[in-house]
Amino acid sequence: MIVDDHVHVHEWSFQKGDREFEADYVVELMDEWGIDKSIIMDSLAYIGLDQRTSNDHTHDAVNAFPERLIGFANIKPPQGFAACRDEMARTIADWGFRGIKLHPQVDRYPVNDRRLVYPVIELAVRYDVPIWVHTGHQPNATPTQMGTLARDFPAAKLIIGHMGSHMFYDAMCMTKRHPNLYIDISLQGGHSFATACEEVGAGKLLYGSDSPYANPGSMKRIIEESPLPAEDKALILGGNAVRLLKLTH
Amino acid sequence: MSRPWTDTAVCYRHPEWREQSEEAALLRAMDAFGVGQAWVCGYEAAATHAFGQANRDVKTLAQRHPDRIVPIGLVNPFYAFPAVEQLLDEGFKSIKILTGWGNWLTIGNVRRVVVPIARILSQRSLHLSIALEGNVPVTGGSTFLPVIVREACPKACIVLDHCWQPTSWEDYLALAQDDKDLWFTLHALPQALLKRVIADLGTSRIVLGSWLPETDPDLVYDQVRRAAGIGDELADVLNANAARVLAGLPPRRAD
Repeated sequence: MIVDDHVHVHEWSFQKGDREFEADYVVELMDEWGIDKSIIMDSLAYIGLDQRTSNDHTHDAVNAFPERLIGFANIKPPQGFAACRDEMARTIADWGFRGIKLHPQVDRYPVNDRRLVYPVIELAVRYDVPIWVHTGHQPNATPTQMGTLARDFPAAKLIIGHMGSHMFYDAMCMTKRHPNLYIDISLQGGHSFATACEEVGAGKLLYGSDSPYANPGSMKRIIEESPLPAEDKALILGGNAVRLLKLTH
Repeated sequence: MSRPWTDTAVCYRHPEWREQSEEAALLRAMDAFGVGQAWVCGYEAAATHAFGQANRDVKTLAQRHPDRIVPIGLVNPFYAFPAVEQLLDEGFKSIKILTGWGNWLTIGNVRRVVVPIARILSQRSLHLSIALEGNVPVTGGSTFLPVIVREACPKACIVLDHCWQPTSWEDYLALAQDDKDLWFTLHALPQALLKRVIADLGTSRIVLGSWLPETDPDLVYDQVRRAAGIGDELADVLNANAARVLAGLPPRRAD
């Protein structure tokens, strides 16, 4: 099964009414590039939309294509733990979302902040869902800070989004050190991907595209055309996501 | 005027502020700003790539002022040997790695070229200075270099230097929790951040480095003194810490 672990709906660069604005477009791209399932999250949350309304959008998209799209909830710790707890109950327990997404850069909090973030991670551990974190920005969203979370929550399944962007070597070092850290490889290139395969191994890498920012086929092709053994490619392209999300079909 | 204290990062012939970093200017500044001893590298090499010449100039300077100047060597990492051993034989007290120099820093190159330098220094009970220059400018990341060196050399005395970029400090503080033997060189920072840094690190694992002539050393000293909430005894703390670093020792631990 091919799983794209990072896809957006309701992209802010498009207007409602544009076909790019809708989940249909996401699924069209998936069909074009042979992707079975995509993990999606609404991206209006990153320009100030509250988490609840943003997750409603994601829910609409998942309902339109329940066999193809998997919802992750945008969670905003600065809105307070009570709001986060309620939102995780609504999205994960009630709707069946399979994970949460944090964006510490746009919401302006250090991702290893004990007061704001630790209760959310604790709750995600209780729900047994992965935590996908946008990384690539100091001072709030870095692979090194993810290392702190991984150390303090060994039962959490933590995904370093975009492989730390330009901090990809930090991402590799931290992921190597902590068994519960994983790397999303979206927006990376051939060199960092090949180095990550050597450093952390295929078992900890997740294929992601960050579509529609990037064409889902670009990263997929880098994986498929790499000299990795077929079983490693299968892990990166979907096997690891299936395991982390406990997907059964 | 404070008691004389040790400035662990001073530039001889800084390529951007040459006049302020010639011999007489440096010594005048040290006197004016309360610096008893300065650890000096030939920073000119960052621009000229003439590491051998820059080290010879620093050696001459240190020979003229043995009580004031401690020589710190710089090397082109790709041609580090036998230069490192020669420098240490000649009395250089450390090797400083300039992360902002050249386009060379990858995980593989750290293992190939930095780790062997760290091993030699560790064998001689000397420290490795990593000038992070805020961030690693070409390949990104603030922490992978010291992490890889520590993994390869668990006993090495490692100093993170030139940590001047405020946004990088969240990473440095996270790293500090995992590596309790790491030393940090403080530079001028926003005061609120510096207070947090001191609160997290304490005073037992810090040294000061002004990168004179980049910053007036007394400004750094006063900032740190205020952030630490102590008086001029800070000079004694800094001198004791600097002595430990020069001996290749880890910070004293409270626990």
